Amino acid sequence: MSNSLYTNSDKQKGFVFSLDAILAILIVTGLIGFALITSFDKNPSTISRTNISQLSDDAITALDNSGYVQNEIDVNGFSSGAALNIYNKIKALFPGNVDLNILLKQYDLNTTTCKASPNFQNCFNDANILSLSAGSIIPSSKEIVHGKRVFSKREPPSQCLLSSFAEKKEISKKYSGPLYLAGEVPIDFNVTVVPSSQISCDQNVFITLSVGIGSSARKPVDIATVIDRSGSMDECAVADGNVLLQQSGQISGGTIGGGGARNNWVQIATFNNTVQLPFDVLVTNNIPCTTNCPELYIRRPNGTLYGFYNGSPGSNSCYDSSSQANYILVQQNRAQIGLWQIWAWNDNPAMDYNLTIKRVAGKITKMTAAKNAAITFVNSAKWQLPPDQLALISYSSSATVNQRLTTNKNLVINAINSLSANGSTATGEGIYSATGELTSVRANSAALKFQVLMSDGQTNTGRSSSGAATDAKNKNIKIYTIGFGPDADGTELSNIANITGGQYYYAQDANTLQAIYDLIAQDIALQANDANITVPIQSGGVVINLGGGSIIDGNLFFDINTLTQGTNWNATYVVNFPCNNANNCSFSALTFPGPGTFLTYTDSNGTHVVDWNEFVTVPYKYRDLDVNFVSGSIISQNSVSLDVNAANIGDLNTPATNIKFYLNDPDAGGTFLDQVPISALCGGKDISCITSYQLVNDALSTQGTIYATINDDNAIRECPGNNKDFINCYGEPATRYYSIDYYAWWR
Amino acid sequence: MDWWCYPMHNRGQATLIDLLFGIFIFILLFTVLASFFSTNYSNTQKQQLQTDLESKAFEATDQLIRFQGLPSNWETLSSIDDVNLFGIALRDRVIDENKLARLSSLALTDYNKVKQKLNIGQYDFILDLTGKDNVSIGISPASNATTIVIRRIVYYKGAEANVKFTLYKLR
Repeated sequence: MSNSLYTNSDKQKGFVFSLDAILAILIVTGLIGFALITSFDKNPSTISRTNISQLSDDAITALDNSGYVQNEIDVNGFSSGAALNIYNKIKALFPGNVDLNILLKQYDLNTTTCKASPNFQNCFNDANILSLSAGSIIPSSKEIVHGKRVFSKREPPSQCLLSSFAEKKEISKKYSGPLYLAGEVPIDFNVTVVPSSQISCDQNVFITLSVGIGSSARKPVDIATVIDRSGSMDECAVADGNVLLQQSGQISGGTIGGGGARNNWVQIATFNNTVQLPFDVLVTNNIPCTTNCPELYIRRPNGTLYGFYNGSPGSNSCYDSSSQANYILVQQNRAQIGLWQIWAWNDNPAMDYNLTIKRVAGKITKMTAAKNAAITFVNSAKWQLPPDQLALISYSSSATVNQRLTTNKNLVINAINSLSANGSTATGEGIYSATGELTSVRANSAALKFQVLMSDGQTNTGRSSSGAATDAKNKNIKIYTIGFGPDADGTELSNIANITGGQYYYAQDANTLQAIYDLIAQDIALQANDANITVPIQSGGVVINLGGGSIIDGNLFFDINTLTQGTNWNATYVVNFPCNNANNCSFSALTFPGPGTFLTYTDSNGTHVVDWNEFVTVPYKYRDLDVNFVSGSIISQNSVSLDVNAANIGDLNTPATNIKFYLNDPDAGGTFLDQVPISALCGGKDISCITSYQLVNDALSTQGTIYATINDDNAIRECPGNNKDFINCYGEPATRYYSIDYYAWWR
Repeated sequence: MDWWCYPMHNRGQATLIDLLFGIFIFILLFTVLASFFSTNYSNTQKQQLQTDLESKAFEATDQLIRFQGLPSNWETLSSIDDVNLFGIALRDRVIDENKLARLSSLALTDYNKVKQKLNIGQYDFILDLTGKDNVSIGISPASNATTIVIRRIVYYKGAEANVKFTLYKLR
């Protein structure tokens, strides 16, 4: 048994040993495994630490700083779109293994509970909260990071904002006028203004303008008097005088007897001469006549024949074939007192006639008339000798320089007196000679150069007058031409004048000839023709009295016509500046006649525009009520307090008036709220002329704009600008908030 | 016959085998346990390093993106020695472009002093800002470095931007 046991025991020991070994191997293996596991490097070399709570807060803060959330709420309002946009934005900033959900909430003001007890819970209670969710569904099995951020929507503030409204506008002071040129004629300007010390608005202002020509500073002139002394100039000239008798009728029935005797004369008129003074008898008719022309004679009071005209000029008679004029002059010593008879003859057909009997000085020829007119021209006081110079050129078949340019007018007069008529008409030669003299060494290079040419006919010899005129023009010589008597060639003489920029005149008789010479002298010497003054009417001004002028294109226009030396032109016009015209509230003085006033005139040197250079400036006073809000505030839900200033910022005192308040613009149907009276305000632009008022108004039920007006019934004459101001008052506080709840988790 | 079934005169041999087996197991266990303890010690040290890195990285990042620095106008100072602390924020999590540019400049010239003012000890850093501009400040780590990366979101040049602050120690 024991052996057996022993044996068994031996056998058992072997078995135990094997179990021990196996156990030992297992223990060792486990220890090695444990050691290997626990000794494994659990700390990788790179570790990324992302705190999603911190990251979420960073993201919301960044969106707040960038204004993204605010903008989404402003633009999209409380909407799923805004929530989704915000979610996407945050998600894009997060690592890819983080998920989130956002909850957008809107808190609206509960006015009922808030008014009862204004704390946050009452004002923004749960009943007025709306929410929208965006993003992934929040898992229940993961650790969730939660945060919240509150935003306010930019609602209008609970305050009154002063307006930047300004009615005052800059007044345009632009004046328009032409470009000014220097004139040849020295113009003296003058202006007087009444009242002269101060002008108040609404007051009439009397402005007297005066213009004259100065006595000096005219350019010197060289003038060549060119006289036609052809044979026709010896014919008698029709003289002018007082008409004693004038009648018209018909003459006919005359016959021609043997030897050409005129038979069957007709007494066409009688004339009672009451004083022994010369008179002439002129009969003109209307039918051109070449043979057997009408004839005229007169009988003395005693019945004897006095004068007879039958076609040949005599000492006392003339006949002009082109004008069919018969002319008889009765000299003074023969002008008997009594009843004179006028007889006329005309064969058939019947001829209309005009009879004129004038009291005249005596018979003159055209040459005599021309001499007289030329001498008067030379003697004119308009010439300043020196520096002016005169010359005489005469022409018939050829031209003669009778007197070279001289400052001695007697030499010229003597030369004129020495002229006698005969020969042909060489007008062109006369012009060439005059041009030669005016360009000779005797000419004054600084002088303006003129020819005054008188002719009773037309060129029939010598070079052409147009060529001569062109030559003169090229030498800056202007030619005035005068056609004297019915035979003068107006076409030729006009052409000469036109070429040289001069003027053509026609003189029918001696008196007219004299007048034309005078006119030319004025034109050459010193005279402003076609003169007129243009006065811009100042903006805001009203012309009460035009003073003889007229309104053209908004300007006051005075037509002076001819302005001569020694005779001043003047006119008084009246202007008023209304107090209630906004244009009249920006200046402190008025200047008359105002910038831009100018004179235009024409003289021998062309047309000129001269700027007015004499002004009077007078202080200007006005009154100007002004209202403006100083501040405003919301007192309660329906009440505002407004501080408003009323001021007179003008110079003149203002009487008492009212400030009226309106909800919204009164000019657009605003609602009247209240009014406060304001007392009279001093002028003088003094700080003391301002008064302040405060209005507490409980009628403002909603947000709106409150207007204040002063003098809105225009009872006071004052500047209309700044009579209205407004303030924007918002009757509600900022009442809406938004919050974002964000939830984030690792996936 | 099995070898463990020898008669008693073979017991000495069995004892010797057991002894050898025991010695073998002892040596094996000793080796394994020694290795176990050695490795755990190393891991503990590494974990301490990572903890330190993480702590310093969080602090430095917060300091940079939430504060203006000391003095607050340090970016205008000519010498880095006058800077107490760096911060590149205009305000909380809003990056000041000037400060960012100045820090970038200083990191090129005075990297070690910048580290000092960031309170990151002997560790190295690189800051990457990704937004309207992409900006990198500091030195990139080599492959054999223990590294901590902190990610934040800031507002920079009118838009959101990501900040990645990497702090590391070379092994």
